[in-house]
Amino acid sequence: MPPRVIPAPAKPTGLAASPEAAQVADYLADGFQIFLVAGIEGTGKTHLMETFRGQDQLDRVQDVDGFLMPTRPTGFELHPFPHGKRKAIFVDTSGERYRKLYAVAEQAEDKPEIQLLQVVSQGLGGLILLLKLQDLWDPASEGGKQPRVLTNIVRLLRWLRGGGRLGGGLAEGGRPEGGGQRSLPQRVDAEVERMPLLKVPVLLLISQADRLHGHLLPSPKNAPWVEPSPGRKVYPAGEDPLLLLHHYAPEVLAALEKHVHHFHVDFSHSVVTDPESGKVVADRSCGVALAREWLLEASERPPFLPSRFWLKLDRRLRAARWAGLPPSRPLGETE
Amino acid sequence: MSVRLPRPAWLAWLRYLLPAAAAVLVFFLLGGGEAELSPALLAESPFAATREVERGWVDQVLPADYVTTLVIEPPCGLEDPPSWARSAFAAFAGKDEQTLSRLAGDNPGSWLPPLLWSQLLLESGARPRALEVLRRFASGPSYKRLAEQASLPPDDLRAMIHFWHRVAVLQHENNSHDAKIFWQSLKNPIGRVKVLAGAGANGLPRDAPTWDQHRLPAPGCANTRLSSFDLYNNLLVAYLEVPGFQETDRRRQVEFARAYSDPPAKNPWQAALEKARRQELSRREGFVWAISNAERLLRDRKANRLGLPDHAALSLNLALLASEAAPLVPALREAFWREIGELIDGAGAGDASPEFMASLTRLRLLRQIEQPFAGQVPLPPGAGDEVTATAGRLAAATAARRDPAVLERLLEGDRQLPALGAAEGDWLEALSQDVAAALAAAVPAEASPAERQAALRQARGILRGASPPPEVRELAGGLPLSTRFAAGWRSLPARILLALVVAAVFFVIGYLAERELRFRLYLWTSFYRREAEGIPRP
Repeated sequence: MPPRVIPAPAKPTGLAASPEAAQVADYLADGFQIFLVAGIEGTGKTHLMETFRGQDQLDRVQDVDGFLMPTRPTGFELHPFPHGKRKAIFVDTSGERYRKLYAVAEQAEDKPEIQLLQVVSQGLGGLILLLKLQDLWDPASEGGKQPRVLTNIVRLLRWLRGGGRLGGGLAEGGRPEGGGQRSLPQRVDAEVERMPLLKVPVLLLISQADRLHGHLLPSPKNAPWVEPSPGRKVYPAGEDPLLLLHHYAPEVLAALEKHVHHFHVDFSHSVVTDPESGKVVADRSCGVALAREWLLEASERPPFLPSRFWLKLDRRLRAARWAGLPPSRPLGETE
Repeated sequence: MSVRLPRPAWLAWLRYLLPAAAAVLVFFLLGGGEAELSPALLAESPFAATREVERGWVDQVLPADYVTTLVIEPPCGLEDPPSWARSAFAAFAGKDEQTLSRLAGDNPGSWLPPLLWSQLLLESGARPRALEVLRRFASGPSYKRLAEQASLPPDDLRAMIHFWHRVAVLQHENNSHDAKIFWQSLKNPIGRVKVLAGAGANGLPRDAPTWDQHRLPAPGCANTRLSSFDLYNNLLVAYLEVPGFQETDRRRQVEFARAYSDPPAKNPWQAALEKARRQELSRREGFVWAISNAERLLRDRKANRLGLPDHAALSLNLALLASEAAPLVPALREAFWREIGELIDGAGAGDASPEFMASLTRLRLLRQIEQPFAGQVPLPPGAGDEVTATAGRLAAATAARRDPAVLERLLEGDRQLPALGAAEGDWLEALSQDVAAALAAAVPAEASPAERQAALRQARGILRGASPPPEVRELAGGLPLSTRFAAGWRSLPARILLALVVAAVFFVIGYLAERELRFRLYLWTSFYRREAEGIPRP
């Protein structure tokens, strides 16, 4: 099924007044389960959708300059995926629009972005968060994306946990917290924490892992929680993505554990490269098919125990491996 | 190459192994741990249901068959016989049936020709014709006078006793129970014995009591094999075997009235008579009369220190009757069987006829059921295969009952009695019912609910699904429903059901556990690496 291109917004009327929200609402009425793909611009949301749909072209991936395939000018695409008897639709919003979404501080609830998220939250089957580690490790890149990446993820999770009925997470807009009294974010936090965890599966994908290959692990200055490991380079196929996230984006893992019932962290959407030379050794993207399978399975038959239960247990039983990042393992070696 | 989410086999087995292990565990845990059966309890069990099953085996091959006696002795002579009588004796000596027939026709009022003629016919085995000759005389002109008049000359009395004795036995054998003449021919001669005694007649003492055995020679004879006990025995058999016997209320009252009330252990017959009057009168009045006659005879003999009757057939029939009367008063079972044992010993080999030996064997087999002993009942020559098989089966079953260790193994389901063959199932079920009943009966009335529940659980474990005897139902009746249910957990069907339920529950638990563990595995699995490893290298 080809992606539907949403025409330019008409005059909004009511909750589903924006064309994007109306379109999603139509799918919702047809019994589709909605999977939201979120991440700031340039994280590869559109390419992930292409890969989901089997249109992954290696040459396009190889083309470094043209790798970022922006969402169509309308900034919004829907990708219906028949999966057995299930009807799923992936909502791919433009990274640019996402940026706008979070950048606008005093959003009213009738803004199209808010309406879209409110409709999505009503039939949400799962959430895909894309995270580009380089954005975190290089605060200077592209105008300092690091705080925005983290803030956006935490806010989105909190907002969705609140069932889209709480505007606080989106409305705070980076305001400074108010003096001795509880600030709005604090009040929102307190309110959200009384609510049940976000029950839909959340798939956090560290995107463009092949570009991560050979990347030197950040210095203690940028990541002071990690023991200095000069010369330790990233080899995505040999890393444990959960531990990598724990060491290099602890806020994200903490947000997942705090707000989400069950989640999975993985590398994705990347070809496999040789650990030494960095050359592409396989001609297709990895970490996509199984991730999608996990997402659909977890959405259909979610586990009873939250992921944080297992992580808490693991921290207690195997504290050593949480203390420092273990060396990467070449393919074929078992732990 | 298709790469799939990790699903280790051990996780999939969790949902099958877990329920299977839980089911096996529940089945055996509930099955074990029962209190040991006390040897004393096993030894003291009356085994009522088991004995009933064993009696059924005997009934199948050797049904109760009472034995009549027929003594045929011709008159030896008359005082001053007329010429036709001499001709009759001469014709009898010459086996001239034709002359005897003619003389019977010429002298219809005399008993001599029909007695001699029927004697010839009986000796030659023509029993129906003999009965016909005797009946013809009974329809003749002088029979009514001879039958109804008590004060007859001694020869007439003796002749009529022999006549009635023959008529009664032949009619019974022929299954032609002519109501009037049949019972008359059984009862009248017993009355005539008293008349003869009252007359102080030749060879008969004065006031001859019924409990004593009197010889009854034919007219003109000095010796005889016929005795008053033969008459008494045949009356007893008729009471027991002729259906539809009924008497008037007045006669019943006279017959069943007793001026004494003996201790039951001393005179079990009196207790059985009372029970039979209440239970059996409307159904089998003859049975009640037989018990009444036996009670009177045996009590009178004991009172006169005469012991049991010295008459094989009568002893045999009394023993058979006692074996039927004993179940009426279960509490007196041992007293009855003690007496039956003595009667069997008194019967000895009797006349050794097949009918007699069959009944004697039946009694011996029944005695083995009631008083188990080591070894097998001696069987008469020519005993059929079925009788031999039944005797072997009984020997095995009763030996098992005597041994608490074997009993315990049997109750635990260890089949050790191949000799029982197809009958094993019923026997074991009855055995479990008896032991469960003994167990329930052994619980004292003041026992605590916990003790009662424990006993009930053990009883149900022994029953293994067999229908509970009244003792167990009574024990369960005093407990709350929940306690009764809990006590039933250890029966075989309950254990199977519980094991299935537990298996189902653990299947669900296993399914859920498998899913949870799978998601834990996913959490630590790099799908990226997994897919990368699945790509073939150049």
